[in-house]
Amino acid sequence: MNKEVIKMLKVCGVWKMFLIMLILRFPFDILNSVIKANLMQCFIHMIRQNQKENLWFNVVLFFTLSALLFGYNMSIWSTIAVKTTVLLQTKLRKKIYEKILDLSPREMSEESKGDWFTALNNDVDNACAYLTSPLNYMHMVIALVNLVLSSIIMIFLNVELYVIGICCLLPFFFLNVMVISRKITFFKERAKKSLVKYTDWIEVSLKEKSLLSVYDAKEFVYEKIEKQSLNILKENMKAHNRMCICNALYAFSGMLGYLLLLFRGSDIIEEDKTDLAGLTKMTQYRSETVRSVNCIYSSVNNMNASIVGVRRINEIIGGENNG
Amino acid sequence: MNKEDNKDIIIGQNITFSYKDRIILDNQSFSFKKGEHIGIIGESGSGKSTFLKLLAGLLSPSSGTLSVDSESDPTKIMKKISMVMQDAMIMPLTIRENIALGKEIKKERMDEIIKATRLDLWTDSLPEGIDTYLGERADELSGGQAQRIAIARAIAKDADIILLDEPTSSLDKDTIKDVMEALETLIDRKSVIHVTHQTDLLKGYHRILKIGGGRIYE
Repeated sequence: MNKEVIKMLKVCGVWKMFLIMLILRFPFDILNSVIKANLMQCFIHMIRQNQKENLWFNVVLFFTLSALLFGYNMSIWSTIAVKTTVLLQTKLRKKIYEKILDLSPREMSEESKGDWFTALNNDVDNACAYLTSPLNYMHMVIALVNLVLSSIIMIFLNVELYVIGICCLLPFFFLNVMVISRKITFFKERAKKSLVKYTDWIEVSLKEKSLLSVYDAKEFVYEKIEKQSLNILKENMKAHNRMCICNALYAFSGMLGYLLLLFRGSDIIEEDKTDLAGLTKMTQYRSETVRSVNCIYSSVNNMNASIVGVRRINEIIGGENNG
Repeated sequence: MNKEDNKDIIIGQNITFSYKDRIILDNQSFSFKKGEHIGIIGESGSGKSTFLKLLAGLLSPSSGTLSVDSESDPTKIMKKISMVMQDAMIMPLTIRENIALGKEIKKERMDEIIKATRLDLWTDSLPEGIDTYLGERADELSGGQAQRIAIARAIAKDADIILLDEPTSSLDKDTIKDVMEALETLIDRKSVIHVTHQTDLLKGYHRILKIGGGRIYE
């Protein structure tokens, strides 16, 4: 885990709860993958062997297992996740507020009011998003575990098909992570700076309404607000464009891998090394690896964007450690 | 005061004005002459600052008529006045931009304003002079520096009517002296309405009026 995030979790004293939340989420994805892959294999077998009575039993079994799994995810795990998020938000805001109250007027004046407002609102939201929102740290770790376990199962089933699948994914993954998405954090940091300035100008426009009217400067201040608002939009768009390129590359690599798998799969069926049901099972696991890699892509991108808030919070509450 | 200019520049007739459920003026009439320097005193909460906002066109009377330099439209009134408040408005801009507020001011004129407000004593020591960005550090300015910027802004507007709302109340004695020197340049040959608790600052003013109990009186 990122050092900055560990530091923040320790300062807030919620890292144990976060760990429990993470561990409780692990079984969901891999069990979901195993159930889907095995049942698809069973369905194909039964259709080919005309075992309709067993097919119905398997449909009910698949439905029940899926319902139990999603029921667990939506009730037990979601409750814990919401509680942890709210607790983290509350503790972070309290820590920042306490820090602000402890500052001397001189230290207070070293940051603008916009900085403090952004820290209490946007930065806290970013930090919580990093840890608990979909497609952030939590999903990245789960996707990583799912990727490893799906890969082990695929290697066990057919090494050659696994290598084909993974060779189509990894180059694009590294291209995205190492080159394309790298600048997302930079763009998000610039957007955050503009957000601070934007908040400062909004404060000026509200607090100094009378004087701005007297000096005919309302338009002048609105232009400043508009400029910062456009800067936020521009920097966020740059980050968004990078994310779009990443997603497009992912879609391309996924399609390429699927086609190659089907080409080679048909040969393997002809060689009698597997049957259609076995190939279907294999494509199910491959889908899981693709989904996991995509989830890691998106999570890394979102984390790059959200880590800005975590860094800023640590700069404010840093130095303490009561975890 | 110049005799040629001996005409009423601000005229309030039968003005009734309430603010936040409190009656500030109850059917009051008043007039201020061009070039006249008026001091306004009164208890805390009597509505002195609110009265200035009324004169500035920022608030409207419930009844009666207010005319400022023959204008009664609030937007036109605002163009005729400059205002310096207790807290100087300092924005995340350079010193120059804080004075000009988006208006074009020629270099010679800006130099004059900087000298008149004695801002040059400070800005000359800054590497970037009046183009120094105040930005997030605006709160670090001393009260005197901030107030001098506010006065410079008022001089730059060059309005005939100057409204002062306790511009020195948050300053120490030495700084008050400096700021008053800058204020003297601003109010020279202008009509001035100065709200303050510090009556010693009103020496030499033509009239001192008191606000309280819904009345304005000498």
